[in-house]
Amino acid sequence: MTILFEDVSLQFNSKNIFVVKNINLEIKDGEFVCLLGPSGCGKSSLLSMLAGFNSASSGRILVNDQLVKRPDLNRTLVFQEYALFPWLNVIQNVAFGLKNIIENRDERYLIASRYLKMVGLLSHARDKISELSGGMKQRVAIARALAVKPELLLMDEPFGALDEKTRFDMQSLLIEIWQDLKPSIVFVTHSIDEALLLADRIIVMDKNSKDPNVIGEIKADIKITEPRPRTLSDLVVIREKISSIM
Amino acid sequence: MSEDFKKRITVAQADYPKSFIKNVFLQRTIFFLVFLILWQIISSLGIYPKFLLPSPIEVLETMFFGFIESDYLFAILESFRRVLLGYLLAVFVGIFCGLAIARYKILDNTIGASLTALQSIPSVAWVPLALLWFGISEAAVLFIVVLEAFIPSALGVRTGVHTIPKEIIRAAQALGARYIDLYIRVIFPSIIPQLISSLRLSWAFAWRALIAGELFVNGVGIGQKLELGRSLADMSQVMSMIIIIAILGYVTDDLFFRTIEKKVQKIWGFNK
Repeated sequence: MTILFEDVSLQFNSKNIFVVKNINLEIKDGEFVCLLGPSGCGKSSLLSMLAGFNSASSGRILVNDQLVKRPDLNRTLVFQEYALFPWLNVIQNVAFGLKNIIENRDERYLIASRYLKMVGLLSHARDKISELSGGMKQRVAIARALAVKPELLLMDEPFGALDEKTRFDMQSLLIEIWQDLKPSIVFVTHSIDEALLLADRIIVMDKNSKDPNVIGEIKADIKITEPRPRTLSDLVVIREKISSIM
Repeated sequence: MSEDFKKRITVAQADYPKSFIKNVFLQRTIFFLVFLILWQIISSLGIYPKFLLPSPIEVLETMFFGFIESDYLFAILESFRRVLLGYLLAVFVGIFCGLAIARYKILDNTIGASLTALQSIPSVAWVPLALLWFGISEAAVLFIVVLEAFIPSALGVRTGVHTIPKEIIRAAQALGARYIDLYIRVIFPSIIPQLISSLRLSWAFAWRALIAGELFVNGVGIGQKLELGRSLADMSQVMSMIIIIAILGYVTDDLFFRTIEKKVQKIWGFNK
């Protein structure tokens, strides 16, 4: 799936202030891109425009040469707060998006259980959501987002609420899944280290210091070619570089 | 409630000497026994005339014969049928009204705001209007019940919809849930915890409105029995009815609604 931002701007309602202005960006098929930056610099706004929740005030966003107009099964999301459906059990959550694609219920559950196995939660298929730990919830959310076979996975600080050990496990799991299924991933984070460990490419964003009417801007676009699994010591130079930009 | 605050409460409770009766059921039984004995004593002292303050034994007698020989059970069932009918209508109207005002800002600004004002009107205030519009009939009672009971449901549904996390809706939309599908599969289930509390409140309102309405209307029912007791100066019937209302209210609210509420909260993971 190729993604193209062409001169995309997002304006606050009826005000002359831009969240982001004239963003140009191309993301290639199967690429793992991190949007890195402090809170309030427009990362999540870019993500929600890409998902189709907000439309750009000007410019256009193309996904596979199609204009993004509304949310689509081909672009699913994982949020920091999981956003699972508490009235459904684990496997029902994972199968949620399959409802409109596949008629047969057993078939839906079969597919859902395949993805549950992938995230290591097959034995918890019938559990209530409220019985799961944070890491397990996020695994369910990832399985749910992947079960509809999206070409693009949008992740908004997905591991921000997890403890360090769990976060590390989840990062490894995500890389494994990504190498297996090869969706494009746009991953929003404010952690430099997380971006370094995960991404093919880091788009560094920050508050705009030049134009007072624009809130955030892209500061740098950095490719990372280091093979995975990575350790942070391999990436000291790039880390320094990003720190100096932000 | 913050963790710190919870801790302070537990500490404060621990400071009290341990109650000598821990069993809640026993506590309640003793409380009511003491209450009944005091009532019996005051009544038999004869300070107040018998027809104004009958003894608990007399009230119990009236209640017993009311059920055995008179039509108390029928009156209760009739009242229940009436309140249930009004309640179901009210909840139906309330839920749709709530969904509509949650969806459209303009309806919220107009109807939504009026609901809050409407809620401050006690049900008895509607009685004269209802009697003139519908006559001294069951329709008048139903009108009052619906008018009172739909408001908590409508307001609850609105609050419920407004407090659904944005991410839940977005996740569902990205997974293909749209329009009516989004309502059935996500919005409606999302508001269930809030809805249960509102249904409970609606029930309490319906119950109050019912008794208020029945006091003025012909027919068979708890309210009518209450009014009949007054006009015959039969205080033991009046008290019997008050006790029956209290017991029915307690049974439906505490046993029925609280149980559902707890179950829902457990599934949603609220009481962890």
